[in-house]
Amino acid sequence: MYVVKNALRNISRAKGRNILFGIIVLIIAVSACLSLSIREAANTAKEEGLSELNITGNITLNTDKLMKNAGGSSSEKPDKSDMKKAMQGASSLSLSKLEKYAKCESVKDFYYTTSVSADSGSDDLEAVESSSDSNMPGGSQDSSDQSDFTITGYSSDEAMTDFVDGTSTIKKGSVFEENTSENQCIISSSLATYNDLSVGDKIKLTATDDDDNDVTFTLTVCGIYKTSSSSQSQSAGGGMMNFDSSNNIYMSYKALNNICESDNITGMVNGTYTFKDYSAYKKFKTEAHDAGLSSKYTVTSQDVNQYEQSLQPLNNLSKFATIFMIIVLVIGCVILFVLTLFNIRDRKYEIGALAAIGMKKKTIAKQFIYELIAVTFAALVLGTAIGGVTSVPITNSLLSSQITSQQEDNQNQMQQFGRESGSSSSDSSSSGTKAPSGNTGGGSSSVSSVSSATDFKVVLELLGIGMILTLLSGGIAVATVMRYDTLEILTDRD
Amino acid sequence: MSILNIENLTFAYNSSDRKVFDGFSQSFDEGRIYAIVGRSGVGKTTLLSLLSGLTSPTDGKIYVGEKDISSIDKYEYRSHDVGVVFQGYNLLPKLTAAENVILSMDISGKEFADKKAYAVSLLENVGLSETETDRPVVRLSGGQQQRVAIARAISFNPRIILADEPTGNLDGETQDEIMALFRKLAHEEDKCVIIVTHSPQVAEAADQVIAIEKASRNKETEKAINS
Repeated sequence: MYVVKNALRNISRAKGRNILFGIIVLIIAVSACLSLSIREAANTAKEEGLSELNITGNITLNTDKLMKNAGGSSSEKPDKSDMKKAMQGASSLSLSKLEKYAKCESVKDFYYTTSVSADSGSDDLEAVESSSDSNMPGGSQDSSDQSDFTITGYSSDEAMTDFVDGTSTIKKGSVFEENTSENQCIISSSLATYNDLSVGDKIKLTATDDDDNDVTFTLTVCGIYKTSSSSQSQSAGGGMMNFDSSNNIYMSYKALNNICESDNITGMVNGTYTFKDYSAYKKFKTEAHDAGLSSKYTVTSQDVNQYEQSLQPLNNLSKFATIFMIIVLVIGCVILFVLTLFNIRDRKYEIGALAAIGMKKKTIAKQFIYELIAVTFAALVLGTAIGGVTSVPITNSLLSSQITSQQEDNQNQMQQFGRESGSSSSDSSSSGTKAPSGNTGGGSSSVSSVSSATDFKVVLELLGIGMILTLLSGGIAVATVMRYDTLEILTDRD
Repeated sequence: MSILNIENLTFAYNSSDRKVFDGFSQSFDEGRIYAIVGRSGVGKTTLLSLLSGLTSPTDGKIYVGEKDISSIDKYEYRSHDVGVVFQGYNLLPKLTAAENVILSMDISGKEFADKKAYAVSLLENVGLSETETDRPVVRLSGGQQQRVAIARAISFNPRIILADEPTGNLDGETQDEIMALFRKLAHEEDKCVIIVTHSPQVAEAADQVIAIEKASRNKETEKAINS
């Protein structure tokens, strides 16, 4: 007990020395607290965001793997014909196979769509033309080669994600009945206005069958929708085409499938799996392959990809913070060790005097360690408090700089490509760790602020760092104290 | 009764150095004051270092009671059984006089009713005023520090008191008071007091004087004056 009392008294007896030691530990503690808090904020943002995210996934062709298998990654010149053959040989999965994987335990729900490209089947119907310039570097595509419309058949209401998340809403009429076999469809308000169409009107469309013959079919407009989606270009069939989303026509899967079967048209089937949470999505990746999914296919999620992309600035910051912490810890440790060594050498006489009156060397070392613990703990508490209070504004300030820098890079890139730069990227001002809700369009919002950073885990980690520092410094103190010879110290002084 | 027994002590700081002691034997009894005298550099302080366990004999034995000093815990021995007044005092300069005394009592692990009051009374016994007891020793004079060292050495009631020039910085009157205190400790409390001194007055006040000469002759020059 007297050792603890003596250690505490010694701290006040040698204020200068202990204040210097405390300041160094304080700097280490504040830096470590900030770094750990930033890292924790990034992790929390990711976990919370993913837990709030409605994750959907698709089974897609693993083109990288196919190319690699076809010799695309070998050091020799790749054989393009082999690669083409491999790509052509790999078709998208049939509905029955997609449904087979939907039986996996991790899948919450499954819906599917089929898409067919079609042109106008009469003079009364014309596609809405986009005003965008179609001349693109790398080979322009003539719009006359493309189909005017895309007809998508949905298996269920849930599959109509634009209507579920509110991107699109019905303005007139109503959406066709779920699973109806009637040839009913909904069209965009732009297409309706352009062609003076209203609910109940019939439209004629022409598609190409498997024998390259044109087949015409008629659909009845049962609803007109308005969409807030600003996307003008859409990906279709793997290539970017100048396609106006106003020309999307929606109907039930069953009705479209009936048309396809009767007219011998091949539609593109796309299955979408929904998952309870991120872990279920991860689990499905394994389960699908266990259930027989070929390695040519992979499970992907646009939601997860977009969310991870939105965390990029925070992750970058977290990485910098970790490197910064390691540097501070290494430099801080070296300074602490040197300071401890000098401190013990400075107190050599004290060690000799205490040992001469019968205090065991290990007790002397223990007293020195108690002093280190007390100073370290006090500095750690103060450092954690300062770090805790400043971590949120500092993290947000650094994050904002990181996002600004990333935005500038993106803008520069857009300008270099001659495109407009006022897209939806990185302007989210969400508080806390809100995940970006939109999952359509090309840009993704970044997590731009955090509401909490220093939590109990960070405090525990700091405590661990403090203990390690104390133990290492204490180890030096013990080794030095044990090395001294009492009589030699006293004789040298005399 | 003999509490310290030196048998054929041989000591040299290094194997190549000259021997400080060569076959030295001496016993020390409880209840007596011994004065160790001799010329400077003859080994008087070394003898105290050997008796306090701060260094070990090159050859020969030192017994504390029945036990060989080499077999006992030296720290335990110094904190319990032997109080040492060092020539350089070896006080902790940032601690007050009272704190220095209390620290020795703490290290001994012995029970005391009121350590602070006891330490102050001891310091007053050796001639320090009450205000001086709360002063850091670095701010005390050499004589006052010497008195703090004496108070510290006797504070935990050791059986043996070793004092190296305990009155070197004291005036005649205080020297007499300190010697009276040592006599009281030896004769009334049965302590064994061993004092290294150059002072004839101190030697005269001792029960026995042990004169140490050069290592080769010290066995023959041992003599008793006041036995």
